[in-house]
Amino acid sequence: MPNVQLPPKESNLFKRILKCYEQKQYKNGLKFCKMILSNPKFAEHGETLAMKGLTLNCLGKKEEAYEFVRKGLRNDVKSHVCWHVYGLLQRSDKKYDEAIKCYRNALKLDKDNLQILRDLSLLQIQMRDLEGYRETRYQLLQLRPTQRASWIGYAIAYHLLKDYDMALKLLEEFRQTQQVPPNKMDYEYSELILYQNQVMREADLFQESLEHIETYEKQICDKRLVEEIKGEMLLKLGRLKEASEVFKNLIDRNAENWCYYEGLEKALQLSSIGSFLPHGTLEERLQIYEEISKQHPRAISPRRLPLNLAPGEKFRELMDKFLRVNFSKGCPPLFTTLKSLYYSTEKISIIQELVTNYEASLKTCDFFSPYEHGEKEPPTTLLWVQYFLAQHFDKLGHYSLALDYINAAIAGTPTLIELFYMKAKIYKHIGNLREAVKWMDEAQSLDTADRFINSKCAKYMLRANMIKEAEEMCSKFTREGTSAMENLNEMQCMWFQTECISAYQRLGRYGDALKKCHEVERHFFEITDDQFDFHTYCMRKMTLRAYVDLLRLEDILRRHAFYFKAARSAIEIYLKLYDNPLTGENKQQEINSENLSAKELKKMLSKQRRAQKKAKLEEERKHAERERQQKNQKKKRDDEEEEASGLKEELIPEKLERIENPLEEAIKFLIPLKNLVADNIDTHLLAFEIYFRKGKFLLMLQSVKRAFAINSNNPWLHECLIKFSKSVSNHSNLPDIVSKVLSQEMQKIFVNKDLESFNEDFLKHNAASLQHLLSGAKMMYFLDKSRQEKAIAIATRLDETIKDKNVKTLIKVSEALLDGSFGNCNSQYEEYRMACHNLLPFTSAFLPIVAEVDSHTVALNHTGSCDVLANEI
Amino acid sequence: MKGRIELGDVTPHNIKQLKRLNQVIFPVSYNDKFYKDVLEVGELAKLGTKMLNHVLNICEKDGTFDNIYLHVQISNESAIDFYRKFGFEIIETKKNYYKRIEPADAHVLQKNLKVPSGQNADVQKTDN
Repeated sequence: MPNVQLPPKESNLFKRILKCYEQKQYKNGLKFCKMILSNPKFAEHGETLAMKGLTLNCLGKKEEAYEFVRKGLRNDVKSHVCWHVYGLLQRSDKKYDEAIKCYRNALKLDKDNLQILRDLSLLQIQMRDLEGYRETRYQLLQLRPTQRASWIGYAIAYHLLKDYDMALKLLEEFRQTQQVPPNKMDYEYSELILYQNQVMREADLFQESLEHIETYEKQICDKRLVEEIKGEMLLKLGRLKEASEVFKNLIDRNAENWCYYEGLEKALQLSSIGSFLPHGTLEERLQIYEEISKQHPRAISPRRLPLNLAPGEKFRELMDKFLRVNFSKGCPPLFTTLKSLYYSTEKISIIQELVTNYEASLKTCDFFSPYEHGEKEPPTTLLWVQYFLAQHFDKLGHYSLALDYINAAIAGTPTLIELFYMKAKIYKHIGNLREAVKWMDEAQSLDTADRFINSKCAKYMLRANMIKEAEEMCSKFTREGTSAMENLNEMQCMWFQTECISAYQRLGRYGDALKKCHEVERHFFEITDDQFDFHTYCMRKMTLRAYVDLLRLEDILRRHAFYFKAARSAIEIYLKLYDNPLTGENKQQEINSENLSAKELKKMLSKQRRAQKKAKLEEERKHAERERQQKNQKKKRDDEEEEASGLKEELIPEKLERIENPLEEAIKFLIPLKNLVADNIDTHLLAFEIYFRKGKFLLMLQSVKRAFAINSNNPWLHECLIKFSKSVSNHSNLPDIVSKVLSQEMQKIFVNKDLESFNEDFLKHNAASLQHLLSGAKMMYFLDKSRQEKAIAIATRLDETIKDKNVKTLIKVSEALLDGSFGNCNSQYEEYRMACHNLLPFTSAFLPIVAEVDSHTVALNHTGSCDVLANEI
Repeated sequence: MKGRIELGDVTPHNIKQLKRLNQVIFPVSYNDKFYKDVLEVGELAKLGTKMLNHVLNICEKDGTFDNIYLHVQISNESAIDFYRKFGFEIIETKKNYYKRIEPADAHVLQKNLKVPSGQNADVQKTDN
């Protein structure tokens, strides 16, 4: 369609439309559009239609926007303006790939259009199309060589592509054009120099980097960083004496930075390469710390670090000193700072001896040991010693002893929050989560202005599956007017959301859990998306190092533990939903009723009915709430004239748990894990479980191979291997090439053994590990159901030789007895539960059903009610 | 004595700590109205007197103390009056004693514990 050129009057109007768009005066912009389009001669003017669409988009009228823009484009396909506008529209919906295509088309029609080139470069870096980004920045540089952003952008492109030579050439050329007086401090120039230096270091040009930093050091604002770089480079160049001077100076600046000590040791050639150290060198090393301690009498690091090195008697001497000073002063995180030494049984026993002796002595005579004189210790010293001992024995698993100490401390100082926090922790480790909540609640009630302890209390409630209570606890600090759940989601409070996910999972509320998984995923999406504005901003402000760091962070964002937790739970749930899809009314998980006695079944069913009724009421309330909120939100949107970001589809639990293709959804969560967390064996095992259900043999093989390379003796892997092998032998109709590859690779793992022998060997090899025995036993039953008795006997072993008879593992075994892994074994479960109860009398999971406490009767602290002092066990 | 002692306010957020202390230390428990009043009053009446008397008693019993001195911000008239009631007198004014509050000057108030002719020997510090 031939394009109509606008005569001067309309052309001016069009220019004003563009201006209005830039200045966000959307209503005016639409007015001018109307003026052009109402004239029948120009009613079909492509570019005006496109601009109208763009303006409408900024007013939130997305569908109309697309209509108009597309119409405009159809009418004027050769207009770069229309393509540009279409690209902007796509970008606002975060469809970056589409937007790039539009921009490219626009550039074909107007190849030197600066604005389009800039927009294109932003998208390219956002999508990490580094080659494209470099090309575009080259064009920008050619068009505007006087603009400094052109040079910088081009240099960064080469840097990211790891072409350090080019990057450095460009940066140096650019630096030379900067007119900065030699002895004056200019922040942007300083950042440029530091960025330049960073590129040199990444290129391993140590000599150049050192000379460079020395040349420009007076113009760099960050003096500390200059010294750190010098130290690092001197080490790399082998100029050790100079390096040691630099690190000594750095330690004088800040005696608590462990990196400086590391650097100093390297410079003095004292760092240990292995665990063996020639005697002389140890003394030299300790001497260094001794000297630094004298120079910095208040620093903790030069007194803490030698504890890592010293053995035996020397350790005792240093530890004694360290402990006394810190107990007298009152250092609450003392145990935390020493925790990392607890890998060594010798060190543990020395610490235990020292501190228990202090305690005994302080109780009688206010001194650390009975033969001392001088100033007596204040009463707080005994308190901190007892607190330390509680943590010490808790770490070693001696929970009754830990409780004794913490209760003694509480008796002496009943107002110290840390004590109740620790008491709660001990109960958590014991496995009595209700009691843990009770004490955590007590802790938070003593200082309701402390958000940390409030959050901890909420977390403990979630661990005990008390979701409502947790939300109420958090609401004491969240914004008024919205529900705590919503506010916490808005604030991207992922610790809370991931704990909720686990709690919902344990309760079988899969829809709610999935909703939270998706919420977490959305946070990660947003964080990735938010980097967009920084591409222009950082270039303008010349904060180049921070900018490159940001890009690199975003590249590995989903490596974060929060994403892993959410993804893992999501995958586990989708797998469950695939295995047992939910139907119509049945909202609870399918319970294997064969495993329950009649009484238990009745109890469970009535519980179910009650829960269903409650859930229904809850749902109705939620629905009403949602409707109300949607009305409010809509009203808000209509009032505001801001650009609407891509509206997110609402997450509805019931819909999520009835998804058509759970495995596809699971894979969406899996892919970032495969890319970014390939060193975690669980990634590959989760991948296996998905591919197993999809029947993708080669992918199954890939997963087990990768897992095998990480840890060939992993219990879950063992189960996967057996299931895999069985499945392969059951599928006789695989294509030849696939069969060949499979048998070839599996040969390496199974080494000619048949599955039964493979399993027997596994059991034999791991006879002291309950986790492994459990897996082996499950597989024994899986391979041959007639061996049920033997399998259960193996899994329920509790004899002396087994090393990991802890709360977690025993609970795992008992859950396996209930979930069908061993078929129908109700009586064996009862027997096992009793045996576990005898072993761990305080763990809730093994208490007889009669003694189970209902969640509603646990008395929690509310302001105004009477308090009951701590009850000891 | 090693270690440090710091004073903090009683607020609705940490009132329970005061309750707990009272429960443990005193044989009588106070009802909730008491604590409500505690928060409203803002200062604990007569407690200051009790504490200062306590300190004076300790010094008397000990016998080796010659005098007590303390610093008070020059604008804190109620504190100056309070201490004068117990026999403290302004002996000096130190300029720019405080680093972070205005006015920065402080009066030094001192009470002689021995008979008037005693010289300044061991002095125990009690800061206001």
